[in-house]
Amino acid sequence: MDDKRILLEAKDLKKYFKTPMGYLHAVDGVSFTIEEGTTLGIVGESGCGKSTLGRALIGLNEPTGGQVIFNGNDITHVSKKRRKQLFTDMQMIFQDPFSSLDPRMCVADLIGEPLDVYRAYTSKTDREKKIAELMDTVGLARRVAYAFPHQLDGGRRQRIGVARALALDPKLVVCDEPVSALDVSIQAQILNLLKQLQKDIGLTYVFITHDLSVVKHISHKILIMYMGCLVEMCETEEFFRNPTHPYSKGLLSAIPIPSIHVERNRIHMDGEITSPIEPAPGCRFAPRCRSTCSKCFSVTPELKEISPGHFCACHMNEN
Amino acid sequence: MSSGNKTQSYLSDGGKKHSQWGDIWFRLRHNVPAMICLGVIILLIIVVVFADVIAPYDYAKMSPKEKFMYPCAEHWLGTDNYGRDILSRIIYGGRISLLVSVLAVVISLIIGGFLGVLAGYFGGMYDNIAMRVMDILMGIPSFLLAVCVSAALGTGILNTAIAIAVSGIPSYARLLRAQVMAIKGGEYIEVARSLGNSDMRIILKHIIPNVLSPIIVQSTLNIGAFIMAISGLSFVGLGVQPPIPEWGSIMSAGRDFFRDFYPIVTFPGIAILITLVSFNLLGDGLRDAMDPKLRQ
Repeated sequence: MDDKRILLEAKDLKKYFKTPMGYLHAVDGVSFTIEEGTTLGIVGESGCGKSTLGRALIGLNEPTGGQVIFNGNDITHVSKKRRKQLFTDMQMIFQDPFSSLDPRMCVADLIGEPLDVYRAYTSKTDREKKIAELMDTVGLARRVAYAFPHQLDGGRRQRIGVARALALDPKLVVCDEPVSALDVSIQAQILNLLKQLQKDIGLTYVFITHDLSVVKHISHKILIMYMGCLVEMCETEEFFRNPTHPYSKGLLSAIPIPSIHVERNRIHMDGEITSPIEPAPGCRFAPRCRSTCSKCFSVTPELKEISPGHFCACHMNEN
Repeated sequence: MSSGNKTQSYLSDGGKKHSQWGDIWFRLRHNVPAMICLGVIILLIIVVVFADVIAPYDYAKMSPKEKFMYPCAEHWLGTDNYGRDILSRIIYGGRISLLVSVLAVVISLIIGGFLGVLAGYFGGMYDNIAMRVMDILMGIPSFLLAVCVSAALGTGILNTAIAIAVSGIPSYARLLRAQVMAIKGGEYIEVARSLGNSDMRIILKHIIPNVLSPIIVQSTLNIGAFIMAISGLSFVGLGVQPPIPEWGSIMSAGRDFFRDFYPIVTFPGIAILITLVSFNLLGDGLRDAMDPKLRQ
């Protein structure tokens, strides 16, 4: 793994949204790296800023602060023209396969849209050949080429989304909960498809999800977010073996075990998420945490390496 | 099933590509009322274009001996108070009524649509300014507005069309702004952005096709409303000048005699009615045909 090149790096990335009550800290000082050909899973509950982070990475939202470094170049703030060019290297797969497809375009045109935008093919035959290839790659039967999205099931629709993201041969694909709107059986198909593609063409994924079993299946590295901040980051295996942050422990204990004989002591998280608008200093998880000290309510914990490759932001680890 | 087109060989495996317009035509063809209305409209257009050949009499030729004739063999729809053939006047009048109303719809659609789409898409300051101007236009009674514009520009076909169109602009702008705002929030617009589409391309490729249905319905309804507005303008002497006939002005000229002599008012009225119903039903049919979800 150590000869892997770093493809994308986020440095202290921030994205604030202006609201009437003040700034909403959707993403607040997130730093991480992704190596080429690997999958980074971003996990967190609804509203913790996962999607905003994904969008900020590929430039759909302009970050408020920090840097995004792609292939060694700073791409945080770039011109429209450069951004358009960058979209050929980084693409996104969206969550909802029902609302993310234009209802008035047929499958071939949906998949071919990126090709048209970048005028990638001059002849109609080449364009159709490429579309056909893409459909084969993602496992869409060619006979549905001229069907409209509403005539297809969720799995096929999401395959369109995947094919469209792959059309320009990107290096990085941000998957924003690509399977959360699908049935479990279809989820597995799409996940296996994504894994296969990674193996075949060496794609790098940022995989955003709230489903730990999905992330266990697909990612190499996991990043746990809580209210816009990173709380823990490590290799997937390490995370499931040795979760460190109290929030991560809570998340893991919430995974149901399909057996009635297992007696478990579940970690229940009490209370509600506090407001992300102008949060006070201190650990954001502290109001819901079981083990806190006075420091937790006054000083924001920093992400520290507690063992090689395992980072955690918690004051209680320091003792 | 096979399209027989060489360029589609890669994708034609069992499927069939209709071009978008071919597809719409395919669906429209199975809508019987819409097809009948389309036929009526085509017939109307042929009649008014070839009015010189088709009309049995000169629309302006008066013959006092033959005034107030009820429908008969020489004058199919009777004659008016000056002895002019009503059928001929309706045929020639259709030229003005149809041309001006369609022209007015096109003008107000282009201007109102442009303002509305940009206001809905970009929002912010531009939206505020454009919509306040529209509010001002809407605040003035539309007929008064048309009279003012017409008085300023003078009479004539194009000027009348512009005068009528001005009062139609705000409704298009409002309609499109609301539609665009609803669609703009959709995920597929964000997807389009992430694929590198420019704003221009997003508007043309994704937004416009998805707001076509309400535009079509509004436009076909407007054609009817505009025919009435034109006759109103003609009535106050600002629209088309006599003796050039126009459906509305024929009716308003005949209303003094309506109690004793019905043809002058009734027959142009029927012409307007047929035109309106045809445009409305065709509009409904087109709206359905353009929705791929209704494809059978």
